[in-house]
Amino acid sequence: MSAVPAPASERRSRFGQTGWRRRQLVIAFAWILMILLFVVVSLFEPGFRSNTNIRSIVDQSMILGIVGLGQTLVIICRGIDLSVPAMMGVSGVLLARHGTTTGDVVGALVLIVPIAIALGLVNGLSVALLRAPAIVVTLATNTLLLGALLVTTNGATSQTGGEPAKLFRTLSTGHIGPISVSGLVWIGIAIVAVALLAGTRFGRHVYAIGNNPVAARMSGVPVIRTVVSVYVVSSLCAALGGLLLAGYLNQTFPDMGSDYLFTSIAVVLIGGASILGGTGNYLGTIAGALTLSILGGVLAILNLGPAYMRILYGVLIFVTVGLGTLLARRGGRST
Amino acid sequence: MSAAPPVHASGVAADAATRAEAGEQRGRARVTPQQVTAVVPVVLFVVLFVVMIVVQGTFSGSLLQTVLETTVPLILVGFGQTLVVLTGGIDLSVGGIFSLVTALVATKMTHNGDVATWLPLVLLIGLAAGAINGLLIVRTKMQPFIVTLASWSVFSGLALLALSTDGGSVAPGLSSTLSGSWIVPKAAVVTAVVIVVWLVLRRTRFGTNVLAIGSSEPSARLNSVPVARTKILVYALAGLFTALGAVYYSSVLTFSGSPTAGDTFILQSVAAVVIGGASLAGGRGNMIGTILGACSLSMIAQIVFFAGAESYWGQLVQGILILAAVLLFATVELLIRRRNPASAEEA
Repeated sequence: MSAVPAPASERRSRFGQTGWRRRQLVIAFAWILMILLFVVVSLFEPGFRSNTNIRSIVDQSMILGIVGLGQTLVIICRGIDLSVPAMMGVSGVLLARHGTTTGDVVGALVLIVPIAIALGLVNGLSVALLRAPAIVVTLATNTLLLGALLVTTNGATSQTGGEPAKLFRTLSTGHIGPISVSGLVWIGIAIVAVALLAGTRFGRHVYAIGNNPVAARMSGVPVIRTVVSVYVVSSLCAALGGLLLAGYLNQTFPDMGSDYLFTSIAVVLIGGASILGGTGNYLGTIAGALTLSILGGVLAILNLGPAYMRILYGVLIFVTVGLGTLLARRGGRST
Repeated sequence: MSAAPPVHASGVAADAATRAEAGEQRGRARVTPQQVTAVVPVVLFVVLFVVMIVVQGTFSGSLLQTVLETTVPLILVGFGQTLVVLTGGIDLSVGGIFSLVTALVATKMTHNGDVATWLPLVLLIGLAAGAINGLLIVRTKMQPFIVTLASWSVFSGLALLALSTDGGSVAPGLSSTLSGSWIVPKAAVVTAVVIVVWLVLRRTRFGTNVLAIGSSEPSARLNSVPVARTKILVYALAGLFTALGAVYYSSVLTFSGSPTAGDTFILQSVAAVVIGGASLAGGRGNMIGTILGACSLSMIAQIVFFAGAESYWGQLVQGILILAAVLLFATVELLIRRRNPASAEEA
């Protein structure tokens, strides 16, 4: 995948210091872009900065942000997780079938959590132990898992339906006074995620593997264990995202996660992470998720359909990644 | 980042150790990944073909025609994907280009009179879309994954602009020209042409350059291979063949258009290439393998259909097959590399 690899010494001295700062600039740029977009739209459309609209932006971004958390970890580790949509569909559909009341939720989780862990283990072990390409492995497990969901339910889940537990409706759309519940949940998760990446040994291992897996192994990083954990975390994030999406939509269907294949990667890239691994952090992904939701809101105001949204999303990735590449190019790496 | 200095030092030491080891092992008998990856798709194809005949009960020319007709779009998209993967890249935008062309065929080529103007135009659009991918990859130095992910989004947005929901119709003249059979099914002719194009292409300078870039881009550059030009051409050809696949798909299989038809072809084309034995790292793979992989994938759907099972069984089996294939190839490569590090350097 990579272009001309720079000699290790060069990469460390250039990329390791100034390149790293440039990367932080890219993340700052993601935040500036997001805030600027919000402010400009608010000037033209005062209703955009109303409490209700901000809450709805946060509600939408939170689900994307949680699924994007797993994707962030995987991408920092030089991987990619394309099995996110199937996991979201499975957890949403199983919630609607087995967890219709808040009391039943534990019953649904008993099914969902082991599936998520198993999916993460298959993905992670294939990538870490057998060195199989993550793109194909996760695309295959995505197909397999969706097929398995339809087979085990005799296709009964292919229709829209089901009433997921109220708990997840509250978590994804509720509010306490003017503050949205989803925002509080997200802030909690974000604090844990940022602390995990920046302040723990596990976080340092994730970055080390992303920078150079061979060197990481030589210096005693438990590569296999770390990579497998990262994929398990990603599947668990996708499962949680599926539960919240079921609550948000108040209905479920196997394909409900299909948009997240693209958007979960997009938010990580817009947030300044390099697809080559080793850089990026969750704060960038948060900005990326908020940006996509704000853009969605803007297009709704302008009465432009999903066609324009797709075009705009694509252009946004070109612009942000292009900028990141431009800034980091002198660091001897492409993005 | 604080761990960088020791990481760097031991990395160099490891590199030297590997090289020394490689020197010692030179001269031993080798099993190359090529040998394993050449056998697997053939075996898989034969097994599935036999199962399909057993399930169906008979073998007839029309069965062969059905299988080939449903596979041709994937073979055409897979042709482009194979070229891209050979250079060490990946093309996710085939999904968007396919959707866009399908949407255009179903909205602009509804009468026989439109075909003469719009057929060259949609093929040109496919070619141009691919060339844009290639240009962006070469000029901006962005990774193929990112460029084609973004352009997939853009092209599928354009597809939705051309046709907002499934529908439209295709000129009947185009459908009748492409479907059916002369002495052999026309789909078989298309497949044969694709194979011939591949065999010719492989022997041209362009073919050699593609393989050289995939094996090692820095070495290719040093050997004055025109890397930029070759890559742009590869992505342009991928766009063109995807457009051909989309024209065939909408005029022979669906007789209408869908602005999201292409999305399944992203996974399917990459899967066909991988089952066919290509390495996603580039430099290894061939079109015959991809065709066998594509046929295997579509035969699974046929078998499920003939057996009277619901179509989602096909999805499950395809998922298992793709996972099994990629894990098998990865294991083989790992074992060979462990036994004989020298072959890893060549691969």
